[in-house]
Amino acid sequence: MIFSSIFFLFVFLPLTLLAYFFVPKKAKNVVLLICSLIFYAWGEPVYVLLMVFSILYNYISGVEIDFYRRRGKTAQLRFIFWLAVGVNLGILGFFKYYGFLLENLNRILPFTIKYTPLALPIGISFYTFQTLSYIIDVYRGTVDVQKNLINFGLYITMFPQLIAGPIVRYADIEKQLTDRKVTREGFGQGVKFFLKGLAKKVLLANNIGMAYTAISALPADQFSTLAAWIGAIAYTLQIYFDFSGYSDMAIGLGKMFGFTFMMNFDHPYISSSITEFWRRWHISLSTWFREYVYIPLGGNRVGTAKAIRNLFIVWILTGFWHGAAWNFVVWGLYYGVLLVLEKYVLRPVIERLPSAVRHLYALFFIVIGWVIFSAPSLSAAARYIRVMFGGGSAASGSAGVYYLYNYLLVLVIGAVCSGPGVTAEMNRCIVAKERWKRVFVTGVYAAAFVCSIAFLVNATYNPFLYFRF
Amino acid sequence: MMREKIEDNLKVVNFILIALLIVFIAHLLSGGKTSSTPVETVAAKVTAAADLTNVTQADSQKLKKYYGLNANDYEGVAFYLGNSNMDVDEILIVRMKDSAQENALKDAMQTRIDTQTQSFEGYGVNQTKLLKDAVIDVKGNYALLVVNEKAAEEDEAFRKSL
Repeated sequence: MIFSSIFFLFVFLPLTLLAYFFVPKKAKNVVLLICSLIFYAWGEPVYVLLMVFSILYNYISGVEIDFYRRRGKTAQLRFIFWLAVGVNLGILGFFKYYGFLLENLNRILPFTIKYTPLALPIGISFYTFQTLSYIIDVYRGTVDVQKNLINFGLYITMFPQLIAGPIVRYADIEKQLTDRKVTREGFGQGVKFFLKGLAKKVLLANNIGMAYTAISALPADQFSTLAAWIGAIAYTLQIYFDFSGYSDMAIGLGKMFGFTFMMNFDHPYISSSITEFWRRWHISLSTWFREYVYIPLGGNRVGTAKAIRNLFIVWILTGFWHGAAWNFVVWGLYYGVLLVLEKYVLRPVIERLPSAVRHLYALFFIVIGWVIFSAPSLSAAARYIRVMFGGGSAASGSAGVYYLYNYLLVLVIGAVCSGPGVTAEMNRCIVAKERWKRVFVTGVYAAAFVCSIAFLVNATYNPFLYFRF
Repeated sequence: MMREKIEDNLKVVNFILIALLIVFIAHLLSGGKTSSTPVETVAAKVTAAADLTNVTQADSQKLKKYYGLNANDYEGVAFYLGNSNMDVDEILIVRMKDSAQENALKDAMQTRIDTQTQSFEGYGVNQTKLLKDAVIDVKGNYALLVVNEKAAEEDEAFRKSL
């Protein structure tokens, strides 16, 4: 089930809200847990068993780790901890990379290994990272063990952020699992976030995405340099509105149920450097890797060589986290190289550049990064980038002109909306003294909702891009 | 003492859970096997069994137009479309990346057949018959749609080629 579907908006969400607010406080987590399992089972009737396993296994492991830690039984403590880390990573690794591994083996082996391709359980990368954060923090003793199975199950399955994040660390939500309040203002904020996310996904991401889909399907004789750039820019905007739209909806839904999730995006395309971009893009993933990989490896408090090694480890893992394909690994490495260069070589140069040039520099590498990320294979990415720079294409620019003419307006709207200006202005108006400003903003949100529904009624199935991960 | 016993039992529960997980994965893996035959080879075998008078090979834009599918999302696609609006003959062979694509692909194929049937029902007797005899078949990582006089033979060739 996806948030941007008629069924979710008009059946699942209203019924869940009704049930949630109707039952007494003690039963609210039970209601949310049941609804979250139904939400997941709707799209993954088989893999919901895997999720139930994950809840039970990690719940028990947490209790055991806490028990052995308090009793000072180090050997048992380490065994249970590493077993839990191994089982969680093993499940993620198996479902995500087993097909990739066999496919690559088949390429190099003189014989073919026949295998059953398995679908990737939706959201597995997100909820596995959540369970790992819990297990690691209980092992470190930085959070208390969760002894209530319902509360723990809810932490893992909470439907607002189950499928595509934000990745919520247990430490950030521990108290909210037992003590939270839904206020009228909080609920209103939640609705506002949700509508903003819905409009981002349905009105912007889906429409801008049509340009990229059409351009990437162009035959070679029509695939010109202009078309390639329009396609790359369209994908750059599409993935931002798609993913940040999902995150906004998740944060909004969380607020409606009294939860506060961390922000996952902070207008990443206004960045003046790649370092800044990664402080603003998918913040919950970067935070997770910093907390559980980079800092434990020594971060930047070790020598330069080791710090560079640490950065590369994190970025190869970030690439691999996104998917089982070589282009994701190269995409991760690409950012690893750029970040190392910025940190150790380019920083003094970049800091002296005018801000517009710095912004263009960052955008240029971000757009190229998305080409590597979105391409079906590494060779396809290389072909695409070659055409972007005028190589390998004998195509006339007519297709490019056609797409520029048809999509220029939506691309400009997308570019403007990706900055902080529109949101800041809306937020100013909503608390303005003048009544007409408040009415106007309410009208804008209502209109965005009506337009989104109109698009959804006629739309084909259009899942979020990050469902793949 | 009592507590130690409970903790020990928890360890046993965890190992039982791991055993159940292994059984679950083994069950998933016992499904249909993939074929590594290239889509071009499968297409060659299928078209060899077909009557190709009324079809020509079509590109990914046509696939997007008539099925709403992006060729890039799949491992490989071979698509043959009727020469004119009155020719309902069609062959679509898709090599999927994983089984998650199966349902959406089958839905898209069925929708195409239903749309065509609606268009021709009532006046195109031959076309309606071909559409009623259309074959949609999925084996492992391959899916086939055929609307053709020799649909059954093509389906047989499809299965043999994998």
